[in-house]
Amino acid sequence: MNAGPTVRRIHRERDAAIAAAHYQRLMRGPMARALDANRRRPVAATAAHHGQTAREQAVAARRATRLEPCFPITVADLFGLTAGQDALVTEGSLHTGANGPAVGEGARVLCWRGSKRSMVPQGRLDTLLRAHLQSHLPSLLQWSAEEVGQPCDLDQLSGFKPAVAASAIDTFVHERLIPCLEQVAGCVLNEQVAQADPEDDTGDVPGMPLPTWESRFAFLSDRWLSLVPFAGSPGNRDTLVIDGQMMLVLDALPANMAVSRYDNQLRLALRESISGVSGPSARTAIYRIGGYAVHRTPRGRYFVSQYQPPYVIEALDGRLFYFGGAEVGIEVNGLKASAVVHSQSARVLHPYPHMFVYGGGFICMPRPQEYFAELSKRPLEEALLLHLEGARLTLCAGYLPQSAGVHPIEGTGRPVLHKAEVKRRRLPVYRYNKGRDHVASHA
Amino acid sequence: MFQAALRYGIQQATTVEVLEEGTTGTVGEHIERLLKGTEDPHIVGQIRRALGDPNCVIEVRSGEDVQTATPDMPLRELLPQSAQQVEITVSQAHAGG
Repeated sequence: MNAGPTVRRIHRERDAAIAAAHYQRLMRGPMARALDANRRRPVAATAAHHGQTAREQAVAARRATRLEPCFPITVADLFGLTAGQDALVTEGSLHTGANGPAVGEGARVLCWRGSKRSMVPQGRLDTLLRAHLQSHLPSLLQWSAEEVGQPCDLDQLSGFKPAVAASAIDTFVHERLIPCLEQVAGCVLNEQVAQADPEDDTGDVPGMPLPTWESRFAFLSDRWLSLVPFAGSPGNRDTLVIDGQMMLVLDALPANMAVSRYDNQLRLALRESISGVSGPSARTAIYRIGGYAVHRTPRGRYFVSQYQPPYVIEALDGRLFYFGGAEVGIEVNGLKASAVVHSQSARVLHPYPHMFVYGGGFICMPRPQEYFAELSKRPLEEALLLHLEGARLTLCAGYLPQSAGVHPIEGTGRPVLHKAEVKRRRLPVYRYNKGRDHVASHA
Repeated sequence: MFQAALRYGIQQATTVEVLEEGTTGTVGEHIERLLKGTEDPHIVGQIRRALGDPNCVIEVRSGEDVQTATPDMPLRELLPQSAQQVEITVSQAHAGG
């Protein structure tokens, strides 16, 4: 049933009020403080700013009317489509141009439906894409904060009230936990390079996973064309001639649909990698060695954590899901292993969509009573590090016991990487929920 | 010379110097060689038990580089070209929920 004009006006006003409140909340967040001042102006003022591009104004307008986080960049800018140009991608290189004679070295001549156009080389597509991301990093950081959620303030995490005085925990941390970390991490070969500072990951555009796109495609006359070299008779199929080489048009779409598809692939690929493990947890560390850290929050809570660098989990169907770095931690809120290490103590210290991570970032680690009984007999520092290692491995290599329901890996929204990209980045690949028969066949 | 280490979880089992040619062979063969050089029989037993579980995890580290492995994989192919050391970590299976 269609609503009348009054109802529609009320809905518009309500939506605008909600959007304004949401915008104000974001602007008060810690991520927002790191942003460019131009991007923190009220929407109306920002949109009216004459120095802005049409794309930025569109983003601002959409942000004012939508609660869903708006992806701040588009491949249309990268391909020069917003400037009215055509684009050609072959063998990983981008050429752009419009109707006219070929100019300069490396220019390519296209013949499409009887008209010729020249395309000027712009460079390697992956290099251009990384530069494009770098130039939009502040906006991407803000988008990531909205999309994934604000990074956790460790003081805001739920937890049990310490059963002992804070000074006793402080003494334990400095006299027993840190020496134990030195001993364990000191055994690791080449400990100096074992871990990059997670805080540095936020600006590491070259390390971001990029989506794998087709090796040959073109945007011509508001159409997207998927191309393949061809030498026979094309019949009724469309062809495109590039420097005399005939290409068969395998598939064609309206350009805006293809741009949406590429934008979505880019959004998924960047979603986690940008937010990474930045945030307050990275700033509260009082001690770091190897992959380990000890955090003390402003309110005096202590956490010991271990960093798991980015990794890939192979699903049953062979798809390779990318998981960003994770800082797995346990709060030190007592001096007895039995009180500190239990089934609900290991957690990821920041937002982290994962099959085994549930509310509060806790990692679901089904263990028999004997496991915790064994840990409780050990000194607290040893129990903490053993359980932490178990939590890390549960995250990246946990298997599902037969009694557990299958958690869909697709539900995490993690990007899927191509095998070649995984190999190129030398990411470790862990297997998810492989049956025993399957794993045994590898052994 | 090539430095090779074996760990069980966070516990160090052994560290030995091997010739670079010694990195040929499979991960399983290397683990066996390193186990022979391990003095603590308790850790040896734990590693052997873990390897008997098909859900066990083997991580091969060289500096920052980490790769997962199965015993039948050639070790050399898992290492970066410039690797001068390798650390093999065997971990028991960990159930997730």
